[in-house]
Amino acid sequence: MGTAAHAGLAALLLGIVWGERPALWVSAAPDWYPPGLAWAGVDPGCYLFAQAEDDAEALGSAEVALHGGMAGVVACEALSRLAGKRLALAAKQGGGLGLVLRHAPARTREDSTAFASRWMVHPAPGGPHAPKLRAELLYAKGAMPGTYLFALKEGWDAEAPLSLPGLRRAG
Amino acid sequence: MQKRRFLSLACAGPDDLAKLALWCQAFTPLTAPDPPDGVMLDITGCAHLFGGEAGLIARLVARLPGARMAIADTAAAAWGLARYGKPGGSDILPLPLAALRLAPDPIARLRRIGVRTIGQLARLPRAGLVAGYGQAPALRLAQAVGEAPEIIRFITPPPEWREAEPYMDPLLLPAQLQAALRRLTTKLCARLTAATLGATALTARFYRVDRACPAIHLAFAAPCRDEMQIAKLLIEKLAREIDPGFGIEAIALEATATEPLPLEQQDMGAKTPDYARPLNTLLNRLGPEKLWRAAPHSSHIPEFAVQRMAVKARPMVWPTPHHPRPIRLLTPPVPITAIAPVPDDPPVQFTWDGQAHRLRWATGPERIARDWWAHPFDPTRPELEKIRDYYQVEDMEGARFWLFRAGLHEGVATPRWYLHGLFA
Repeated sequence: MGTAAHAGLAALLLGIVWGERPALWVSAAPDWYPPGLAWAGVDPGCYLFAQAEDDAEALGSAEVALHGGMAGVVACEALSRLAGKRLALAAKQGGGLGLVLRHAPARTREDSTAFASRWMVHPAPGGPHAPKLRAELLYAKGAMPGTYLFALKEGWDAEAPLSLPGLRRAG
Repeated sequence: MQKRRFLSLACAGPDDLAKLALWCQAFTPLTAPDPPDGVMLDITGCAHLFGGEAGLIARLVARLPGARMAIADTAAAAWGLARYGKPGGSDILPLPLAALRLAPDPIARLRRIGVRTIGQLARLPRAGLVAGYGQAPALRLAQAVGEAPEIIRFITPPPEWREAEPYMDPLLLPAQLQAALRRLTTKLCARLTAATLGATALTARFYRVDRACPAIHLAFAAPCRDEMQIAKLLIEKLAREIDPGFGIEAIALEATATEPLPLEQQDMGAKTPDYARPLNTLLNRLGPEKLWRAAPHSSHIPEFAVQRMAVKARPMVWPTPHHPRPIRLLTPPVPITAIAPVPDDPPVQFTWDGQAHRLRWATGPERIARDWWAHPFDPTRPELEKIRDYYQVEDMEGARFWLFRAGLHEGVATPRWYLHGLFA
C-alpha cells in the first residue's frame, strides 16, 4: 500500500507517450492528487478521475475508455486473465493506452500475457527535487528485460524501451 | 384553435398529489396537482389516444377506484362537476355555489338573498354582484363559463422533445420494455437529427398501472443523438432501476436539455478523435458525481487545493506548484509516531502501520496555516498552534513521504505527526 511509484511511472509514461489527449484515472479508491501530478511534470487538466464501486467496475470503466480511444489508468487489487485480455483487446480496438497499477508480487508465470509489457516499479533514492523510480521490465513482447531508472520532473532513461508495441509516442 | 378540454380528478383518499400528477402524465403532458384532493389535467387533443373522452374516463376509473372525475371546457367547471355533479352530467347551472370554489362567507351571504345554485348566481347583474359580495363570486363564475382566464400551474411545461407510447395491454417483460425503448429512442433521435440538436439530458418515464412512475435519468458530457448508444444506456439502467410491478401502461422518453449538434459527414477520410462516446457511457454508468475533472482551487491547504469540475467543463491549465506536492494524498491524514531529535526538527524515523521507516534525509518545513478568517475564534487554543509544518522525507529504500507536524512545541496541546501523502 505504501508507495506511489507506480502512479508516478504511469504519469510519466502518459506524459511522454500520450501527450495532451484525454486519459481516465479510475480506481475503487482514487487518491491521486492532481497538484502532485502537476508538480511531477504532467498536466492533470486533460485527465478525468473516476471512482468505481469495486475493482470490477473500475476495470469495466477503463475498458469503456480504452474502447473509445482514451488512455486508461486503473488501479486494482485482483486482475483475472479474462479482465487482462478484455483490456488488451479494448486498447487494441480503440487505439488507446492502458496502464494497470497493482500492488502484487512479481509472478510472471501466473500473470496474463495479454499485456504488451509488465513493469515492477520501486522508489529509488534520489535528490529532493526529483523523485526517482527504479522500473524493472519483467515481461515485454519484443524487448529484453532490464532495469531502468526514471526521474520524475526530469525525464526518463534514454535506454528504456519506450518504443514497445503498447507504447506509441505522441506526435 | 381547438377548444380546450379539462379533466378534473378528485381522489377520496389522502394521496401524494404531486406524485399522482406525475403519473397522470401518462395521459397528457399537462397535469397539475389541485389541492387539497385532486389533479387537474388539460386533455386537449389527447382523449382520442384512449378511445375518446369516455374511454379515457373508463381507463382512469379502472386505475383509480373511488375517484370522481369530470370533463368540461373550463378548469373551474370541470372542478365543480367532478365534486358536485352527477356522473356524466355536463351542466354546471344546477350545481350548488360551493362548486365554484367560493369561501364559506360569500356563500352564506348569497344564500340569505336566496341564491343557492350557479344558475341563480348567473342571473344576477354582475356590477351589483361585485359591489355587494366582492370580486370572488363574479370572477369564479366568469372562470367557470370561460369568460375569464384561469392560471393553472402545470408541473412541467409542455416538453418539446418528448415521445410517448401508451399501451392497450400493460407491458411486463424486459424484452417488451427494451423494444419499446428502442422504438422511442429511434423516433426521438430522428426528430433531433432533423433539428440538428443533441440531447444532454434524457428522462425515460414508466407509468405503471398502480400509479407509480419510476424514471431513468441520463446525462451526457457532450450532446448526443446516437440512438444505439442511448438505447444501450437506457437498457442497461432498465434492469437495475426499474421495477415493472403489475405492468407498465405508457412510456415517455423526453430530452429535457438539448444543445446544437451539427450533422457530420460519414466515412470521409480521417476523422478527428471524438471522445464524447466513452465519456457519455462512463458518465451514465458511474454517475455524475463519480466522474470528474480536476481544477486548481486557490487554497494553500492541500485538501482544498483541488476542485471537482463536471466532465462538461473546459479542461483547466494547471500551474506547476512552487512547493513539492505528493502524487497520492491520503485523506484523512494518517496519524504516525515520529522521532525528532530536537523539537521543531524534521524526524529521523517514523512508524506507519506497524512498520518503522528510518529516514535518509528530509526537506522542509513548509508551514501552512489555517484560514483563520473563515473560522470562529477559539479562546482555548491560540491560532498560532493550528499550523502544519510539512516535510518531504525519504527513507532508506528511497520511498518518499509527505509528513506534517500539527501544532507547536511548548503549546497548549502537544504536537502530533501525520502522514499526508506519498511521492514515490
